[in-house]
Amino acid sequence: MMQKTRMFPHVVLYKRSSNRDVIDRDMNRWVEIYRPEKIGDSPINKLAWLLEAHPEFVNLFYARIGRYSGIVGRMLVYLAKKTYQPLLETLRFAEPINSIGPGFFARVGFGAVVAAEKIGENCWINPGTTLGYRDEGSGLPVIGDNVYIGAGAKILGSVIVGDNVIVGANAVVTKNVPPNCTVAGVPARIIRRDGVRVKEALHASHPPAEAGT
Amino acid sequence: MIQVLRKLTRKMELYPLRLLLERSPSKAMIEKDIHRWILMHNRPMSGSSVPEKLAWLMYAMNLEEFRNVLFYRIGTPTKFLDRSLLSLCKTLFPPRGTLLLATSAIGPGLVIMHGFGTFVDAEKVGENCLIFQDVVIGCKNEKNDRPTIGNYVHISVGAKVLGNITIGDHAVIAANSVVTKDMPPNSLAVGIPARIIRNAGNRAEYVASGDIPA
Repeated sequence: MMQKTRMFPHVVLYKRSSNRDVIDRDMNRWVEIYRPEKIGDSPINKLAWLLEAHPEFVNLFYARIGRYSGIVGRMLVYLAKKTYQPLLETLRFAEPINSIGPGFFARVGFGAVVAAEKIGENCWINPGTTLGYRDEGSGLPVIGDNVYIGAGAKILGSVIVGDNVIVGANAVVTKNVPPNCTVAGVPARIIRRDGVRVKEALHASHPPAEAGT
Repeated sequence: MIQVLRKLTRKMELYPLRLLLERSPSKAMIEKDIHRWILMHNRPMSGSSVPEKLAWLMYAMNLEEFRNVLFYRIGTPTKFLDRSLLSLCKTLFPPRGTLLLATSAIGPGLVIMHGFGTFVDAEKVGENCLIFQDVVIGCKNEKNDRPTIGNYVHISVGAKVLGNITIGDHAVIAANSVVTKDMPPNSLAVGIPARIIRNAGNRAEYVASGDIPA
């Protein structure tokens, strides 16, 4: 009962949101990963559980909701942020949030910055991950679908990371990554391609056309 | 006059926490923790009592990460009095927000330095471990496999320990290294992916054991 009154603004914001199907897919992914017990199938139940158990989801939720221009919407967002405090300082999403595809998952979200040109579906980030600018005047990364980014990995500058890529922990990626690869190390090297162990350096000229979106 | 008042308010502030620690079932473990935190911060207070040590850690050092360890040890009590005391303590002494100890079994004498962005999700952590900031101990590649960590292990800044592996006693994991393979006792891991140096020996033992020479 207590929780239901607490999350009333969240429910209204969720129902009114234009991003509702994206939030649905996010919630499905989070529930699929954590597999909580005794959770009903309705999206409201999932929302209640996630808001209660995972502050990093609260951050993502506020980012997905976006900004309202009307007075009612702004009041609702204000109320929502008063009742569930987000981890504002340690998990940052750059705007516009629509650049992040549905099914985005962040584990714990300590010290993570997500500023990308575009992120595909079902991206997974870990604590300490940074996606962002390399230096002044450089662009932002473009990330494909089903990319797993390990803890403490950094993807910097206008690089294109292909689909189904795994970026190892503490790797620093500043060049394009072809699809279906595993990269690791500083600077990042390809250590696995299509499931076969290899040792290749990354080149700036790696095919960007087939990678990314 | 002001100093007397300050001392009095501090005593009153610390009172619920002391009461909670007295009532907690893991009291012995907490005392071991306090002893080791004092040692690691280079202040052997051999003669003084536990409340004095606690006051020193809480006020003179003002360690937020120490509060995290305390609240982790207390856990979620069942009795109403304990629960209300705990919530009071958490408002009086807010713990560090970016330090999460998700492991169910952590041995006594755990020391965490700074603890910014530290996430400990191991199967088991042994006694007297030392963990620094930005460390991630957890699953590898979307699987549900967690590492097991031995006694007297030293995990340095930014190191990542991932997957279903075992870290032996007295192992040292160097800064920013990524460990995804088993480590024997007394070994040292450096680099991405970590090269493991066996029998790093006495030096490693000295670093991790926390026996600070006089």
